[in-house]
Amino acid sequence: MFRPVPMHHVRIALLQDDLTQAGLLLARFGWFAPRQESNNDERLPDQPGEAYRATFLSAQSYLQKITGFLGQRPQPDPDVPDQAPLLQTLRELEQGLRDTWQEYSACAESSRHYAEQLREVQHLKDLLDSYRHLDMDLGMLRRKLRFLHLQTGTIPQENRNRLRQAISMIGYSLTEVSRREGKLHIIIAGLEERANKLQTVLKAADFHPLELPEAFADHPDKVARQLRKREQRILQEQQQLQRDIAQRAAKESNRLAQAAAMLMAASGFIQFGNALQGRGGLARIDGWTPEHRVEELKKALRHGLSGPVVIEHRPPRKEEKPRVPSAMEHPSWLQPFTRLVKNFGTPRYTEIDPTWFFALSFLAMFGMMFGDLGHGALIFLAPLVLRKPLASFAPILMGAGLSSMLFGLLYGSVFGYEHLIPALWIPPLSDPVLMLQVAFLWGVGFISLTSLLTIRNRLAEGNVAAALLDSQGMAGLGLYLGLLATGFFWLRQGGVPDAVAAVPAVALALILIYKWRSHQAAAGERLLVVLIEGFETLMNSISNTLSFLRVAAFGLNHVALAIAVFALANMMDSAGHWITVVLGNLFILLLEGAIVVIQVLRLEYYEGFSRFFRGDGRTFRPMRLSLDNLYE
Amino acid sequence: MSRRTAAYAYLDTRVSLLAEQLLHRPQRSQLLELPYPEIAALLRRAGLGGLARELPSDPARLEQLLADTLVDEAVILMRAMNAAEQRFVRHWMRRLELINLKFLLRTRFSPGKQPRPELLDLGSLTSLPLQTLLDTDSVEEFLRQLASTEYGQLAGPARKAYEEQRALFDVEATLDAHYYTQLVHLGAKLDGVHREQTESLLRVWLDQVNLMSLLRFRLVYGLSAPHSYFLLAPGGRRLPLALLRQLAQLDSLAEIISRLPPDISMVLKADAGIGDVELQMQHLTRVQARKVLDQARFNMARAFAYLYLREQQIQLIHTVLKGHMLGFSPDLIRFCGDPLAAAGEAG
Repeated sequence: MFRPVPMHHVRIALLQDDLTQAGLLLARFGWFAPRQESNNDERLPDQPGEAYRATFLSAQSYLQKITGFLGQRPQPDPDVPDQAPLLQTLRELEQGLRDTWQEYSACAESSRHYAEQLREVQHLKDLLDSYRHLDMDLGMLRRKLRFLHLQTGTIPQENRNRLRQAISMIGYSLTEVSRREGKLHIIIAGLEERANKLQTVLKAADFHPLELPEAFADHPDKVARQLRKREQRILQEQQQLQRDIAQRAAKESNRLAQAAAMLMAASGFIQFGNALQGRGGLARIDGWTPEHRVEELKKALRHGLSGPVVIEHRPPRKEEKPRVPSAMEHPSWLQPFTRLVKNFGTPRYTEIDPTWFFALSFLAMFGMMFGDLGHGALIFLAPLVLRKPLASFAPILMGAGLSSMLFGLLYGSVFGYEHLIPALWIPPLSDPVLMLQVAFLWGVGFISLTSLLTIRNRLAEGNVAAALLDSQGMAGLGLYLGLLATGFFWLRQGGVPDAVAAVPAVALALILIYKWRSHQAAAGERLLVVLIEGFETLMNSISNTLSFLRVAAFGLNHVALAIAVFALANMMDSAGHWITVVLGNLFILLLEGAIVVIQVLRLEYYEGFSRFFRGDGRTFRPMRLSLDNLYE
Repeated sequence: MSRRTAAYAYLDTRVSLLAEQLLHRPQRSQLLELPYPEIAALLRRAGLGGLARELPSDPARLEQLLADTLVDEAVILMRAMNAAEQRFVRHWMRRLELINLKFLLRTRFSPGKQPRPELLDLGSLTSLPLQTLLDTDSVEEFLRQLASTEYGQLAGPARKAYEEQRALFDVEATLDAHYYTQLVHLGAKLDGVHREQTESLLRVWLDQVNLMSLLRFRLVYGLSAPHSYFLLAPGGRRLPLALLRQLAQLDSLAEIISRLPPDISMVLKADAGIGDVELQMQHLTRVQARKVLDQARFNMARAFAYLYLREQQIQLIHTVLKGHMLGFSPDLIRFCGDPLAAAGEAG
């Protein structure tokens, strides 16, 4: 519960012929994570199944392209086949998907072609607008003349100036007729005898000659009617193509679903990655499985494989521990808190799993900062009313709501009203100093606990020196508590007993010595670093604790905001009063609620996690039969 | 301390630290002269300690390692820049991506099944979805995918070239021209003094790009004057577009050299070839980059100048190391990597 699930290293030796089936069984089992780093065992130099892997990846790529083009994923059969496909079957599947994609690719090309034709017609229509004021036969522009060379067409707008300068070198001129969507419609004119030098530069300028159709040899109004007809025809053909694609997709959906199911069955083998090695006809897979699932794994493989299989397992060795993946098993209501923990990082295998600590302290601090029976009840009820959008956060919201309600009872606060129910403890504004003292003590407890967790984690890593002497270790805790005790005696008694004063001094000296020894650099740089880090340690001890005063400050702030709302409401008449009270409470609930969540997360991550939680562990990623994996 | 000094102190320090890696003239000569086991110290000085210990298994890996170095340093410098400066440097580094794109275009447009190209991985500066483009089955599919990338404006001209079964020359030249125009555009968006200094180097570099393009288009590929002129980048410092238009109408190298500004033409001999012109232009660009790096202070142009000079030296190191990997003779390695010395550059 407070540590990642105990893992066992599992080594599976089997025949290479059974590998694909083993992949399927392990992915279905769902609790085996292949080792990520390569082993480089010279006795097993081969990477078996290269052809299988290449065929799978190719088939997967085609399936992704097809589904991407159709814009929908096929739903695979609920039952993935019990047998992983053989290489030959996979090749046939890949060939089938390749053929299907080539057909769809042709459809995509046709679709693009129609879209381009439509753009061209639209462009011609726009172009025609430029000529609409001309009461003339447009064919005049197409006629070939003996000395004068005229050419109409379009170019990207940014090429205008450069093209104009370039063709002026051979005596040509460029006249702009119209512009639209970055395209310029131009007429180029010059001497026919120099036309041969013109063509190469026009191609470089992405010039699209405008071949005015035969119908353009008429009055602009008549040309416009013909263009509309042409547009209609293209639209009809385009719609027909879309219908064909839709029909085809419907007809083939079963086949694609079967293909997806087949690929899922083959996907287990692909997930082995570096964990798979082999030689001759034998193969070996290394990975990690939770200790309590090992027997289940053995049973699944022994029953599901036709050939012999040898399964060895053992707890992780000391040197392996940094590489062991961490699996966190928690009840479902704690899962949203796990996600927030993972936002910061994954615990190392040897570290304390901070989820419980996080969940309890988060709820406690939220309640203290946002204590109100009415607001808490609304937060508690929100996920019950808005089930769909808030489903994944329901446990956090309900927990925070309950905590807020509990503190609301302690403070005697309901929707900001301080007189409706008696306070079981104190109304916050009645004694702000006491509130700040409680928050201070909470901070001391929080930081002391995180220091203890740090010491435990360092000891678990085998880093005894850091556990004892580092600023986050026993010496750091001694310095912190020693400083607090010194401050306490100074304030209460006006003097500090020598024994108490010696504690922080000795602790600081130990920390400085440790830092000096652990830092490798020139003496001057070393001294500078040690002094700065020592000063930082001292400052952190004080500032981090003061940081927790915000727990009380927000509790007071909550009441103060409510007072402000009531002051505004009291200036209104009856209806205005209640509207202001409701809107004001909503404002407090949403805005202050959000700020409190951010502040609590800040305290958790910065003051808590950054002390004892490295968060650079490896997440346990077991092999799975997942449709999502196919589309990654 | 002025606002600019404060804002650029970190970048300035970073550039100064990185500039320590630049090899000086005698060191570059040694790099070309010495056998591989003896250049380890120089490679370490150039910040390439990994290559001093062992050469990669193949030339492609070497190229990737050196590209990684360039990209990593650019990313480090970009972190200390504002958004407009980051966009400029990112675009500058995209020249490496153009190599990928041209390689992909050529592979895709070549008839028959082509081997999978070895592309440079630009890490966080990558914008092309290389895997998606590599996974395409046909030229049409490739162009459809290309249309949805940042280089989408190329898909149209490329499709036209493919449909007309023309060479990709115009497409590649258009890609380059578009790149240069965009770079100048981004340079113009920098703030005051940063813009002035950056443009002072950029325009000198564009002189080099334009003159070499013009000579190749006109004299090597035999393009017409308007066609050659159209494909040039925006005008530079010594060679504005008006002068380039005049040069494009000339038909021989001697005529073109005689019309170049004196500081370019005077150092060229009467029988100079295109290679000599290129060396002289590279020399002028490096001198300007050195000047900016040494004299500018608290200015992003220093970072730009460093990246330019660093890239030049990485290219030299690449040439030398590849020569050693392929077992070239010392003379051949010196010949391939000697343009720096051949230009008679100091410093």
